[in-house]
Amino acid sequence: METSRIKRLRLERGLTLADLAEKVGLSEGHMSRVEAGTRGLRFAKLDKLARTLGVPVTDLVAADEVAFAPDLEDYHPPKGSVVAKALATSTQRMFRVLSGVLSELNLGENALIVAEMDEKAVKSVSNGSVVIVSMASKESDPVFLLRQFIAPYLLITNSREQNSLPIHMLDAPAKIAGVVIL
Amino acid sequence: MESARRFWRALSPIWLFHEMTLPPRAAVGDDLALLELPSLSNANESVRSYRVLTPVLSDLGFYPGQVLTMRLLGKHEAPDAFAIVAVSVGGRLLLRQFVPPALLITNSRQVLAPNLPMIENVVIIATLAPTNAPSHTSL
Repeated sequence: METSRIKRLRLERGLTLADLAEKVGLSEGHMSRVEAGTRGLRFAKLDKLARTLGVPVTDLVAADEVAFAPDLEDYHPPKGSVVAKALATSTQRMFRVLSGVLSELNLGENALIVAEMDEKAVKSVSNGSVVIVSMASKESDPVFLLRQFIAPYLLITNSREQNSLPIHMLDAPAKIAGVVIL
Repeated sequence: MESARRFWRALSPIWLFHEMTLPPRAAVGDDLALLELPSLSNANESVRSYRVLTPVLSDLGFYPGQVLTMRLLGKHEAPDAFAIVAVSVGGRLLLRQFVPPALLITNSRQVLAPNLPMIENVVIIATLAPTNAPSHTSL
């Protein structure tokens, strides 16, 4: 959460810390720690905070400060296998799925997927495609996320259990790195 | 002359819209307001008109103030993939995009709401043909 932004928005609206805490349904101490960045908020409270301040939730969450856990890890098929040979001569890459973010699309944990990483394929991605997203991070190397692309700019999870906030590509350091083909 | 003018004015869609539209029915938190068009209420029972109240689908070109004509869904009818739908949730009337198999999303840079899974109290009421949703985009 971008703490200085919450405080700035509160002051712009002429609210005291106590006013804001009461409207959001938190103690003043908790609200103070949220502003200071030492304590987080459950999504329902974050939503209420955003509504109270009259801004979208995304205004309170700086996308590049959100830590994303990788949904994928590289998978290397056995050396000499037909799959390994095929991958070696193409722009395709194989991954193991680490999360259930697309479980409603039958892509559960441990599923093996093949993605086309060619720039041409990425540029012609179609609505609803399953994509590999490279999410930049301030503290580590970019992580690979698994998402469904919804035109024109959204990357969403499609799962009941792991329902994350959509990523808007114009507001996040995210780019489509590949398109899942298998 | 005056009667002719009145006749043509009566046929104007803008006049019909302004003169025959009752105040929209909406509650706090609604994305849509049901417009009651008395003259048309019996004309086509499977169609409803709604005024858009929020920019939850602004990335798809739907903005507050627009009027959408939507087709009511049959009891066991599913909307098309990525269709624009009117949804009833706990007394609220929402505007969402349907993502198969059972997800409802906002599509807006301004309003990035959590995805809404279709659980028991979430009912899709009506749908708009997905002609406004782009199927491809250049990144």
